[in-house]
Amino acid sequence: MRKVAFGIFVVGLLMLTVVACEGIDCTLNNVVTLNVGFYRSDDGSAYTIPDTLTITAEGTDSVLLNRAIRVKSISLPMSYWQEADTLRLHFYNTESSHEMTMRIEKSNTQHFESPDCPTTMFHEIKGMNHEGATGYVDSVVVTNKSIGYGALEHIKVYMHVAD
Amino acid sequence: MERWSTSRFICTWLISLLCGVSMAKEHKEVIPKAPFFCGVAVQADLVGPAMKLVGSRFDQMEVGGRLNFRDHYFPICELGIGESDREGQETNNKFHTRAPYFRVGMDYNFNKKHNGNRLMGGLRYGFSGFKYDFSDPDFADPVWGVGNGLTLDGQKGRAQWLEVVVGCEAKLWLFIRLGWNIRFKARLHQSVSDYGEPYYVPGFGKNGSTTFGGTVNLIFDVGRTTKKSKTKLNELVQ
Repeated sequence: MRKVAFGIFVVGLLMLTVVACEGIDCTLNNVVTLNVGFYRSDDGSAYTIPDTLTITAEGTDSVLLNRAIRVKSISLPMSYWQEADTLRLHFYNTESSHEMTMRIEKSNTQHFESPDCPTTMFHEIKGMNHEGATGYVDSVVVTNKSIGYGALEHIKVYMHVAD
Repeated sequence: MERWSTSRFICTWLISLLCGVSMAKEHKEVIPKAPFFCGVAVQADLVGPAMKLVGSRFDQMEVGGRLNFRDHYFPICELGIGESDREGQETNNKFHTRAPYFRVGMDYNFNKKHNGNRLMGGLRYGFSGFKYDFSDPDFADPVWGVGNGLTLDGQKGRAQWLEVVVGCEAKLWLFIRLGWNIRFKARLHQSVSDYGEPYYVPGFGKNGSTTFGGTVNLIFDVGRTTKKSKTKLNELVQ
């Protein structure tokens, strides 16, 4: 009987050792960005901007998007602690130049998953307004307020398209 | 003639089969019934202290008490303290929690013989209310460059879960038993902080919708109600 009991003890410990094994399993797509898509104002279809686009933001010297050409959509970082981000979108080509300012009011919520995974900041869009480039940009619409993991589109920018 | 012999063969075969069944019934071993109430046992988990000793990511100190009806039905109550104090392997993030947990449920002994060995299967309902701390000293805004770390202390969480248990145990000496079990755990409900889920839930294990766990228990049969039932169960075991 004692041999049986000892066998039970050893087998139990071995099984629990196997059960206790684990790996690091962080979310693969763990980048939090504001995703913006460009669309035609006449029929609402996706639009590839023919001009060069540069985006800067208030409060940082970093250029968020530098001289991008033929873009359909963009992903931008958001500030961790500011209550509102002001983005400057500069569209230009050899003949013309348009500048739009977009102010996005938001809340910030720290997010953690595990000690092994990087900590991030999630956001909730509280309000948005834009000004400038009136003859170039038709309207800007918030389509998804929650900014977290994933590639969901949050803002649609409708552009005037010359025939 | 041929038809007659065939029908005789079938009749003979049927009669012999029926006789065989009745004889088998007569020779079937009659297993004596254990008394209705066979006693009380207390138990302590040995895995928790072992995990703490080797510096595991989390550990739990657990004791339990159970009743024994008919040597088959074992209503059981388990309580313990679960603890996790963990630093990330590739980050400086830290997670900490220490809280009690409770489980109630019942085991069934599948061994029909009362020979001291038990093959157990059972269910548990577990619940825990806990607080957890999380910190990331390197947390900073990579673009705007602002940040002085992140400390989130005292985040509140509650969890309920169900466990399917299988295991076995053997009599070690007189009133001392040793047994192990493995458990499949499924989360029923969880309420956690808006900032994020806990890495570890006391009593459940590493947080997730399902997980596995187990215990190695040292069990003490501490009492039986009447002299009659005690004597009867001892007779059955011997």
